[in-house]
Amino acid sequence: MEIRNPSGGAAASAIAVSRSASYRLYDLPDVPGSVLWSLSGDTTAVTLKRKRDENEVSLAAAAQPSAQVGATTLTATFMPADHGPSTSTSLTITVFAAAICNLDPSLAPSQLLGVGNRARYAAAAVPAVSPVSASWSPGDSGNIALLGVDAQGTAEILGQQAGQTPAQLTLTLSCASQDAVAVLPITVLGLRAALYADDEAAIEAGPLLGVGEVRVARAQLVPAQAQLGTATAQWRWSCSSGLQIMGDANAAAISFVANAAGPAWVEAQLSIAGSVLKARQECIAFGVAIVSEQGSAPTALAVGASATLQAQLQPDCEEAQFFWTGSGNVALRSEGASVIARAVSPSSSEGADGLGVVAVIGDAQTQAVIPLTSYAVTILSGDQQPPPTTIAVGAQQTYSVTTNPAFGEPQIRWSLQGEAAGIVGSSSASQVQLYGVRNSESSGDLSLAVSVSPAGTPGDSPDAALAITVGTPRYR
Amino acid sequence: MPSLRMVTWNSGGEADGRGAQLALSVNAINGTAPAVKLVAIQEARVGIVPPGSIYAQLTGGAAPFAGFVNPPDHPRELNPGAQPLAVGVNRSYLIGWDPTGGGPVSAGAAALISLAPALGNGVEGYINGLAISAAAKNNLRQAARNIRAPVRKVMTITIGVVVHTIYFYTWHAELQANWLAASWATLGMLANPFAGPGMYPAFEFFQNSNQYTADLAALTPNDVLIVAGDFNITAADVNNNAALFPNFVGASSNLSHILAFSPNAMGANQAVLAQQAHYVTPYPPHAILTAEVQW
Repeated sequence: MEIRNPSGGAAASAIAVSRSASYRLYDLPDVPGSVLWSLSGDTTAVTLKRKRDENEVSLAAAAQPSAQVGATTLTATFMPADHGPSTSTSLTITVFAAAICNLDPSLAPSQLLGVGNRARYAAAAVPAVSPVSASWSPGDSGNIALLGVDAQGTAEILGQQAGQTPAQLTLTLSCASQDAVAVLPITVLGLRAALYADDEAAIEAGPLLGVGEVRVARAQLVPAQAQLGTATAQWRWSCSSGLQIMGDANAAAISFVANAAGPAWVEAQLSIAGSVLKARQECIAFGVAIVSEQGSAPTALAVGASATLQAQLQPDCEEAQFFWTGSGNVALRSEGASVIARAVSPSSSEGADGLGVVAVIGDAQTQAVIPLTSYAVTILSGDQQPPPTTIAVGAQQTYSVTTNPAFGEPQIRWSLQGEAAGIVGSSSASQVQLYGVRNSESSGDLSLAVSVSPAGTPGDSPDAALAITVGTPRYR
Repeated sequence: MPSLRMVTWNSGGEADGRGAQLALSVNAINGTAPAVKLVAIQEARVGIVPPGSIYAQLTGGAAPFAGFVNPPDHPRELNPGAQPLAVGVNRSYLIGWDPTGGGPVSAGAAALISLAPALGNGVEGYINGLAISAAAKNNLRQAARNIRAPVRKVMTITIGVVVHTIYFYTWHAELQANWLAASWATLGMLANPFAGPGMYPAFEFFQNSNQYTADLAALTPNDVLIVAGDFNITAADVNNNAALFPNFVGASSNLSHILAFSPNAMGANQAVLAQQAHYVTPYPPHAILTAEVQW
């Protein structure tokens, strides 16, 4: 006798959980008799259902798989009607389930997958019946894609798009014409980074920020309500060279400051459940500099002198508003990116006065400040006394120049108008020597002028002048 | 041994639950004695009508601030009148203290110290002593006049008949990016000494200011000088730069720090910090930093 399937083929030695299989006894003795079906071993794994034809039964598998392969034995016993010796035949049965596993059997399969990340899942029969064949389906959510299945039945899955509803990864495991199905819900996570003006801001900031401005960057999981379970999230932020993260870069939100102008970015990286998610936020940092038409701005201005200065944006990205600030000793007349600064009274000390401009584009702003010392220029005698206004013909007279306040590295240029005297020696030192050549034509017809300017700044216009008479004027 | 348990926090404003967060953290800190007797906040709101959430906590008369003096000191971080070229959003410091139960007694309201260079003062002496160009010096002078200055508050704790003076400073140190023309490079340094975004010269201005040097000179072994706040530099920056608060002991969390110095008879530091902890809040990037200064 032999137990086969009702069609006469090989009997199913494995039944998928919650499924059933039918069996029929073939090659019975050619004598009258009856057939008795029985179960032994693990009798909880299947339920035996008799049929009208006593030569045939079906077994319904429980929802739980067998504890081990061949745990249940199905026996058919033929008992002849003449009470002759009975004949038996048996078949071991295994109830099996399909399982989606981590490649590391000590770990649970990950139910979180980042967009753009790949994960591999192993197929397993529980218990390990064989031979089995596995087929996988990523479902129709579009959140995951099945990249391939290797010879061992391992599937490679790609996170395609984040979704609030988990994708259903389905494994169908076939053994002995029986299909066991396992489904693993997989939440696909995305990450986005957003910028805020500060911790209190509820609305996202635009991509522009000024040099010196601080922004808060927050990374947000998509979907926001994703259940992370016990998964540990590890954050790591990075940024382009013109930006600087302020301290801790290992949190979901960070602050950063723009140190230099130019295109920039911040990027959040989240490592979670074997996935690495990245989100980059591009931005543009803009700076402003105060310059003059000649290039760099002057650092000092003589009282009464003025300078035209420009606010120069870098990069010149958009129409900006400019707000100029001076101080009491420097008067400003501004128009947009241009300002005329005029020194009206001496600064209390070098560097005490300055000029500032704030450039505003939308919600972003940056600023530039420069020192602008306002100084008065005075011509004195060589020994710092009130300057003599007469020189005898054939005599030498020393004059000196001082500024109030004094400032470092001044550039000095003496000049003389009139022919009654000449400059002896250098005309660019703090002191100058005049030599009386001949009598003045008229009183005070000789003009000694001096221009004082900071090093590197053009300064040809006289900042102070002194009328001098040489000898006895011909015309009084 | 006198001690002062304190908290410093750059709260980044006072919106949302910042006040409740501070109370929650201080209550947790107070779970182990001694209780917090000094709170220093940077970036508090300038306006107090209506009060910000932290101001409301400090003045509400409820635990853990029931014994705190009302009103707290509330100096602005910048002084627009004297600092016409100051950069950035103006915020305030908030300093609350609890004189009860052996806490510190205020000897005067907290006030910004001056970092402005002037002939003969320490800041000008420092700048003028640098071997750099006149233009670079002027950039530094301008920065010193206009950056955020530390706030100073003098308090005392009396144990028996001994009066212990606490020279307390809190500071929201300036960002280098706001003063690029007066950065570390201005000083002739070849590389940025800081990993954090702070401005190196600002620390030199502070430590060369007449007020700070006078306080250091006035310290007796009974006294302590504490500097706490958001320095915008990291603990490594503090530790790796020998010129920064030499001989102080410190507790740090990210960019926030509590530093202390108390001279013993040999001139060495006898201050120690105990019970250091930081409480991460939902309001990044700064944590609430606490330590007990013992000296």
